[in-house]
Parts: sequence; structure tokens; C-alpha cells
Amino acid sequence: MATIADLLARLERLATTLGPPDEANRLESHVAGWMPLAQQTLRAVSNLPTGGRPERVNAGLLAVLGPLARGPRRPIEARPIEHLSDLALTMGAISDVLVEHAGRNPGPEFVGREATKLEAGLLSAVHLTAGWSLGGLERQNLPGTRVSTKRLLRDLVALTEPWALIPPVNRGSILQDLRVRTNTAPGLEGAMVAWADETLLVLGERHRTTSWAMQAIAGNLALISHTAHNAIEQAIKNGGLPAATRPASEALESSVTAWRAAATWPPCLRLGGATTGLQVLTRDLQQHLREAPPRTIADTRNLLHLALPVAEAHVATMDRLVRTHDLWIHGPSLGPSAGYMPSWEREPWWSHQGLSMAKAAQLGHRTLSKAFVTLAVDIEQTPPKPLPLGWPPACSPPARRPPGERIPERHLAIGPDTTR
Amino acid sequence: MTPAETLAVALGHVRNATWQLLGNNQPDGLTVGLECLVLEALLNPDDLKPAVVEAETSPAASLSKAGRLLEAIPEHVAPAAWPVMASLTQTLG
Repeated sequence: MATIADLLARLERLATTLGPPDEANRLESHVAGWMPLAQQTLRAVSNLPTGGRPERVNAGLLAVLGPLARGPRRPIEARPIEHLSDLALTMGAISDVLVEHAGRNPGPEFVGREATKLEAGLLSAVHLTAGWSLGGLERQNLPGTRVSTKRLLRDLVALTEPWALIPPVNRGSILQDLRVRTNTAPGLEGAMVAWADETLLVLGERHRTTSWAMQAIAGNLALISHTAHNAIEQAIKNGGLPAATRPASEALESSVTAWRAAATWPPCLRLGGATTGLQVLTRDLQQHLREAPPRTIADTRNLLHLALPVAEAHVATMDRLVRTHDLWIHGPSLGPSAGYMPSWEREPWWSHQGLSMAKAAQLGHRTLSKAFVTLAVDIEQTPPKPLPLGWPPACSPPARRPPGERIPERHLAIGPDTTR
Repeated sequence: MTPAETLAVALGHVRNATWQLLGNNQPDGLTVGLECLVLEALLNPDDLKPAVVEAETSPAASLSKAGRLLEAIPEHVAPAAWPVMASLTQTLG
């Protein structure tokens, strides 16, 4: 499925190919086009995890885009300009992804800097478009009562100019990896979304949680970590990733070990029930992981991004099962001190057979999370740019002179020469 | 043994094989172990309580024992389980 990066590239392409301002486009067509574009821009920007309160952080944008989004009081009959409609459509797709992401409580690695970088990408396109519209309207002789749109566009151009000054190479954000989450996507992505959604349902419902499900989920998380580890190692080998991402690879290696341990339930421990739906999706995901592993680092990050909530839910469920003694144990395996327990019984209060698997799952979640954060941060690291030539200026300590030779005036470098 | 008891014992052997494969720290143990888990699900659609049996010397031996038991009760085995069993037997030699 299209990622935000794909949609942003389309947005920029549309904004940079608007052509010269066209006088044939009347004011009403501009206003009709700007209404959905302003609405979707506000929606996208408000759902960026900038870290502050959106209404305060985006106060300036709200003041300008708000009136544009509302439009005039009387209904407009003119058709919106096609370019503006295309831009609004693309911005709407981006805001859909951001709204979905905002609802999933984004991790700290997404908040702040990464959101600001994506905001720069969105608002630079808005800047170009506002400038284009303004250029077209400036050539029209509008009556004095109908200049508010021009004023708003002028404000918008001024407000968004700082974003447009940032070169695209400095705007790469990990948020650009986000995509429309759908289980109808082809290949691994669709299989992963379908499995993750079903898994979260199974782990969230007490009566659908079984030992088979817990084992299969932990095993799949190990397989996902293994696949991601291989993808990163391959990328480092091919030079597509800096060696600084090695900690991510190491964390994934630990994640494989931990999740594998969490999947290794002893045969004397179980929790009954049926999980038919999950069985089919589990097999489907395993097949895709084997046959079509992620080809790019963005795909790998997306895989880990989808796996993390599952890992978190698994840890919580396993913790509950152990703490509340919900697991069933085969009596004879507890030894003669347990008394007469001929077959499967609920685990007695003094036994904690599932504790080692619960601890392994906790470790697996921590390492998987660490791998994702490391990969998200390190991949964006670029070598620091050298400072301009001659900066900082060479600094030498003041020469010590005899008291008689001291110059009482201000230093020449500080201000105008007093003898001038 | 009744067919249900035979299936329970076969399931016990499959569970032993899964445990042995996932816990053996071999690189391919993960994928083969997960395949064993798939086999367990295919063999037990009615949530039968598995028997706890003594582990064989290797996962291959456990699966071989399970296979022999299942061949005795083919009418109680889901047809989809046979190709998985054959694939596992081939992989484990």
C-alpha cells in the first residue's frame, strides 16, 4: 500500500507542476478548491504528534486555514480548480493515515522532531499552492469587498514560507513509512495486518486465549524478528544501511532468542480452547515471511511497527495467565509432593510453571522495541555538515603588553575606531 | 486404546517434538517447530486433552511415533495434517 512517503511525493509533484497562474480561474473556483485543501491540511497537521497541544502549536495555521476551510457564508456554485482538488485528495489520504496512527498512541520516537519534519513537507507544498493561487488572483481586478481570500492566501504564504525553505533532503521523517493499515494489501503487509488484528482480538478476549495461541504468537514474533534481522544484515552488507544500525540487528537477535523461549511451552502445561481463525492467519503469515521477506528497510520498519502492539499484548496476557493461575498443568509432572492429581488440573497457587515464559516474553518485547527505536533513529542520522569556511573564527588569547603600552580605547574589532 | 486415546497420545508426541525443536537452539528449529505447532492445531480441532508422554530421544523419533499412531486411526485425522506430517518427516530426516 502507498506510504506517506509515496503520497508526499505525489503532493510535491502536484504542487510543483501547477504551471503559471491562470487568470481564467475565477475567485470562486479558487475558494471552492481551497475549502477541502485547507480542511485536509488542518486535519493532517492537527494529527501530527508534535508533542504539544495542537490548538496552541498550530494557532497561526488555524487562524489562516480555518477561514479558508469554512469558506464564504453563501454557497459556492463554481467548480473547484482541478489541481486544488487533486492536492486536497492527496492531503486527505495523508491525514487519514495520520489520524489512524494518532489513535494508536504513537511511541516517543515519533513525537516532536519527526513530526516537524513531515509537517515541513506538507506545508511547503501548501506554500507553493498558496503562492500559485495568489499569483492568479493578483492579476484579477477584484472588488474591494472580495479581497479577504487574497489576504488569507497572503498570510498563508508568509506563514508557510519557513517550511518551504527547508530542503527536501533535510525533511526525511520516519513517519513517512506509515501507510494505510489494511488487511487487503497484497503480500506480507496484508498478511501481517490481518494476523496482528486477529491476534490483538484473541489476546484481548479471555475465552479465546489458548496455550496454542500464546505459543504461535510468540513463535511468529520470533520469526518476524528473525526475518527483520536478516533484512537489516543484508542491507548493512550491501551498504544500504550505516554500520550504526548494528545495535538494531543485535537487539533483533536477542528478540529471536527471547520470543523463541516464550514459545517453548513444556508439554505438561496448557490452556484449552479453539482458535481456528488465528490458525489460518498464522500459517499465511509464516508462508509470507518465508517466501516474501521485506525487501526494503521501510518495509522492515513497518513489519516491526505492526508487531510491537502484538508483543505488548502478549506480555500483558501472559502476565495475567501466570499471576491468576489460569494455566492447566498435568498433575503427575508436579511430583509426589503435589498429592493425588491424576490428570490435567488448574495450576495450584504455589506453582508458577509459566513464569519463565512470561519473563522471556517481557525480554522479547523490550528487545523488539529497542530494535525498532534504534532502527528508526539511526537510519535518519546523517553525518554532521561541516561549518562554513572560517567559522568558528580562530580565537587567540590577548597578548600581554606592558602597562604603559595598553590602548585605553575600544578594540577595533568591537566598534568604530575613535580616531576615524 | 480407543481412537480418541490414540489421538491424545499422538498429540502428546507432537507436543514433545514441538518442545524439543523450539528449545534446541538450532537455527532451523524455529521454523520446523512452528510447523509442528501447525500440525498440532490440525490434529486437534476439537480441543482434545493431549496425553503427556515421555519424550523420545529426538524430535524426529517423537514425530515418527506420532505418525505410526495416526496411521492406525486415519478416520480421526484431518486430511490436511498428512502433507504437513510428510513434510516434517522429510525435513527432520
